[in-house]
Amino acid sequence: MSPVDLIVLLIVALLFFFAARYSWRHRNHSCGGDCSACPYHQNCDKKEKK
Amino acid sequence: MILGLAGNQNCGKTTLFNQLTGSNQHVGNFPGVTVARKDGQIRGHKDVTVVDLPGIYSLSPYSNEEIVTRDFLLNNNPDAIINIVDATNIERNLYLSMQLIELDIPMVIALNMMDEVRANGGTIKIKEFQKQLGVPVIPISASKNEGVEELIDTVLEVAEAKRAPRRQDFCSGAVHRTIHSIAHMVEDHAQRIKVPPRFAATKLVEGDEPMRKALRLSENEIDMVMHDVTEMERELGTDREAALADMRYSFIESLCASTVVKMGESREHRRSVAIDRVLTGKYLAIPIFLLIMMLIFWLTFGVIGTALSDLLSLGITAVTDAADAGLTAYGINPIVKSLVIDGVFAGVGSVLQFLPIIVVLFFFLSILEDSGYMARVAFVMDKLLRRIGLSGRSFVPMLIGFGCSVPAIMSTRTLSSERDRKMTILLTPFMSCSAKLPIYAVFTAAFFPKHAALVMILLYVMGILMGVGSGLLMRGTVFHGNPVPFVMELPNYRMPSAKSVLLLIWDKARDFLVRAFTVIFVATIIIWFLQTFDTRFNPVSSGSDSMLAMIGRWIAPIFAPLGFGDWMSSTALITGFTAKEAVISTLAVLTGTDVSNLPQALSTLFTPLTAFTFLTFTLLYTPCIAAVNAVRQEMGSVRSAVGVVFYQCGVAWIAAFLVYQAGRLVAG
Repeated sequence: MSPVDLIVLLIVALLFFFAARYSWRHRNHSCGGDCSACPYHQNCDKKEKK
Repeated sequence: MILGLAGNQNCGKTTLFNQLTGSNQHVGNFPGVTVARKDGQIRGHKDVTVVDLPGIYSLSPYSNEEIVTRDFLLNNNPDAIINIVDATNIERNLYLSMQLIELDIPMVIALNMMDEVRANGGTIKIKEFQKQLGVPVIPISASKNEGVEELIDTVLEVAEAKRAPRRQDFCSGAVHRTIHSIAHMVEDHAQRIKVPPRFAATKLVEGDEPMRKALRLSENEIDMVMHDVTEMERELGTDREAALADMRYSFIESLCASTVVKMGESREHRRSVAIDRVLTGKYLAIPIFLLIMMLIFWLTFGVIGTALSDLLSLGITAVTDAADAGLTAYGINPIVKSLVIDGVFAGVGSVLQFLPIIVVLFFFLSILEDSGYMARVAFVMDKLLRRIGLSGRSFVPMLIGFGCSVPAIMSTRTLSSERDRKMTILLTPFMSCSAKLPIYAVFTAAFFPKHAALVMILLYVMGILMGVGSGLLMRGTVFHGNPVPFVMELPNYRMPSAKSVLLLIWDKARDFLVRAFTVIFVATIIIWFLQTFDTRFNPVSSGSDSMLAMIGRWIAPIFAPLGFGDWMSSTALITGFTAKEAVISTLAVLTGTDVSNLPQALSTLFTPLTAFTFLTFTLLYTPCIAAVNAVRQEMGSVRSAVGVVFYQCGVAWIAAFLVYQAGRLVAG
């Protein structure tokens, strides 16, 4: 593998890491839909305080 | 400093909140948009937090909204309350104001929509009005940002001076005596739980059970309270709740008689009544709704959305080709190049091209919502939903479900009946969420290009019918009983606000993009990896030797009776559990095609019949993992969430099987 191959791999790996971390942290979030019409808009990943 | 923003539903609280804080919370033209509190800092006053509370009509703890608002006001010790009152409907709004005054918290009344009152020949004698109520009153127009600065100055002054309402006693006769007597009796208990004695007494007179429990009255004290209340009821010849309502409305009537010059019927209201005669008419309402929806689908999938999507697809293909050429020129390792081109670009690009369709569809839907039409549809649907044991109120979560199941499931918190709430949660995932749109769009383009809009409508209707069927089944088995009555105030029709529509579209586009570059990106790379290597991590020459093919072949027999028993489509369905768009990105990676050639590549895997069967299964099978998690949270049990997954997969399999077999019979 050449240095360019490694650099490309490293970039994809980093992007993968950040995307996976973001997805995990926002795992309770909506799936790209009607969030703005939701009463819990921008709050839906916060658990309701009992 | 903390300020609470309280008022009736649809009186402009969120609009005022946005003006006060400079935020862009969604303002809906139907009641009940806010069901949880939202906090924000007042512009120019970083130390002052304003809390937007859900719209309520009283402080009785009957609905979730009332409980949230009451708990905040009693437990969070706000420094002041901004009570926003709709001046065009002042009598009903003041009913809540009188209860807020009893809380003995510094308070300012913001008389909203004063511009509309004045424009229709009405007025309010503000000085006399505030003198009689005993709290400062500021006329404002939240939508035009008029009077908001004066409101901020006044509320800060009142809060800093801790100036409580000057007057709390608005009654006389039997009600006055009863409240007075009970207030003295429970004073110690009320002070212990930090609730004003008069408020506690009023609530006890109303028969407020949570207040009685919180005060921890002795048996003797409860008997004395009951004795006083019974005496009052006997003297007035009416029940306790009616007595208090009568007391409050008597005061409001005399207040308005002396201070309010009634406005004539507004032009907006006259126009709304005229439009409603047609749009919500007994026979025309549902056909018109269906026609509007068909028009939206036709414009989205047949005209505007598809054209824009094709344009974007060309752009993505050009970028992919340029990246491919660049990597080839650098002599990049073939595996690394495959990761970038066949994995990342093919997977993410295949989903990304549907951004215009999402934006166009929700552009039309947000116009319907902002104009006030969707609130009417909820009413029109009430009669139909009642037949499956739900009320019209359930329509709002279902409508949100066409966007995304997660917020739809969460918005069921607005339903006061636990039975209605659970039923709605279980039916909502049957609605076609926007994440399924890319799947529909690719398959209709590949197999039904001339009837794309028709197939889309068929899929949406099929989802609704499955929801209806499940509702009837649940009504007859698990959820007996009747839905609660549906009461909702209909807002006037209005021109949709460009800002509101644009914000909504931006939210959708942003959510979709984030999704494409996170979950879909991750899923794509995992799929590429599993498809490129075998179990010993050696690169494979053919995808059919890969790890993914091995996994897919285990599952494929389940789908064989449905006509698509190959490992590729089975694998795509599995990845759809993470996010529905992943079905398309997976198919793109597995067929090794770019965005523009995906429809052609699919024709090697499916026939028109198996494609429609596949669409049927995708429409109905398990919600994505985020939606399943939302079900778990809202139902409070893992068993329910797992039950939803199995139930929907079962329903999807049976429905797809019937579609496939029926199709085969018809085709001969």
